[in-house]
Amino acid sequence: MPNKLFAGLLKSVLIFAAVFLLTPLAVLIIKGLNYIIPSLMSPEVIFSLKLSLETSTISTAICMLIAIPASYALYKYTSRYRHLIENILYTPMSLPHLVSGVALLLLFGRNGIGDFLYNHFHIDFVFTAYGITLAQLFVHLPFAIKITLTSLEEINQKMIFTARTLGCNEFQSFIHIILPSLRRSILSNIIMTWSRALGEFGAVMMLAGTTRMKTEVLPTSIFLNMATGDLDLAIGTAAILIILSLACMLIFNSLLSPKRR
Amino acid sequence: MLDITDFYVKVEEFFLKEINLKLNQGEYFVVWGESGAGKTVFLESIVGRYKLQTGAISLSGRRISDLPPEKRHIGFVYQDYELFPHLKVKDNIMFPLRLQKVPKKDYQKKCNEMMEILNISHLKGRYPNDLSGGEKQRVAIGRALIMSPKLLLLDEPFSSLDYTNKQNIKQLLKDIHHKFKPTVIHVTHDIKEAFYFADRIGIIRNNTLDKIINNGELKKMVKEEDFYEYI
Repeated sequence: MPNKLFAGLLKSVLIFAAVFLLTPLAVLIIKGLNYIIPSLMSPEVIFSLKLSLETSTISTAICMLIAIPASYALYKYTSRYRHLIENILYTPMSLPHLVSGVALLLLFGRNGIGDFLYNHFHIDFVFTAYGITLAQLFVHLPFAIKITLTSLEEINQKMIFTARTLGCNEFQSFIHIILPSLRRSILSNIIMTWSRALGEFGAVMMLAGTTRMKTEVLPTSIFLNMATGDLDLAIGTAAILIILSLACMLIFNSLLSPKRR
Repeated sequence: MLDITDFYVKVEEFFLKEINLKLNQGEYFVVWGESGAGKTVFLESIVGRYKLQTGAISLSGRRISDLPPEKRHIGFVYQDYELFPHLKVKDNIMFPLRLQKVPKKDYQKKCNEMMEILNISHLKGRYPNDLSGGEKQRVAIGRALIMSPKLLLLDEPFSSLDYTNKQNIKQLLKDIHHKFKPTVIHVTHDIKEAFYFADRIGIIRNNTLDKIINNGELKKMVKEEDFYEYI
């Protein structure tokens, strides 16, 4: 194939991909712009926006608190069985989110350990905001571990060892060298996890349900309003969600920019 | 001062065996060997990256071979410096002292002195990515020396430097050795470096420290071409 034809073919495919990916979003944003302000006046959307921001922030924080030490342990202590353990941990990534939700419901429902948790700690995950956080955590923790592990593998081993020769014990080298080296990766991981948690629907719906003004996050709100035929509110809410996701993506890309130290 | 006996280390498929070495206080010992001979593994084993299978390493009469790297108090400079990219030059140099919880005033003073000796005071606010190879090497040497180690290990310290920088750092290293008198093990594959620095030279060959000779003997061997026949 001549070079010019090959280049033309590649460019055409790229243009097709861009048009295919962006057109539906552009249509939604253009249509949704008119409905954003009225949507933000709605107590229901305000409730779901607030609950979405709260649950996704909490689940992201817990996700990071688990993902960073877990991936470091995986990286450091499991040379022999590492791939096996990784594959086990990544299992939820390959499941439909609805299935993850069913699994959580079975475990944390009243027929699982739900009774015990409620009786001893007064925590109930089923049809509550706790359930939303738990579902977001369950679905996104494997991604967070995988991203952190990939970044850990890129850290220069000799640099970490040099820190040991300069007087760092393992904990100090983790705090002073490894964490700062992961700084950009952790920040981008936080943004990606947060934005995914914000849009999580399948697992949240199964565990926390879709009760208006109780377990209603932004995706739930879109679903409920579409189901009841309130298209204006659904489109406005969807536009809000897209704008939040785009803002996350912009921050993510700016953090990964090579110009940043 | 440094006493290595019956050293045997295995790193995956590679091994170094039957190494015995005694170094005196302040001695400058150069380990010469071809690429892949195990020079870096030898240094890394002394500083604690690899555990000895058999044998022992003692420093000033204290057995260190069972200690973790942070308790051996050995200065170590890798050939690619391994500066911490998120820390400025002064913070890289102060790093060991901050860990030792030295009072801030003292470690800042010591750091400034070290930067003056190494002629890098003007670089103190820069990050490693903004430094040249020679500047990075000075910072790495300063960071290792600021701990006042009894033993300083240098892994091919000039291999990444251009000719001018190499000459400058060579002179600097000589001056530093004269001033601080640490015992040094310097690894190289450049025989001229061995002539320039060494009190004694050890040749790594066939997975062991095959020969230990003094500088004069090595010069004679090279002159008479026995050295090239030997390697």
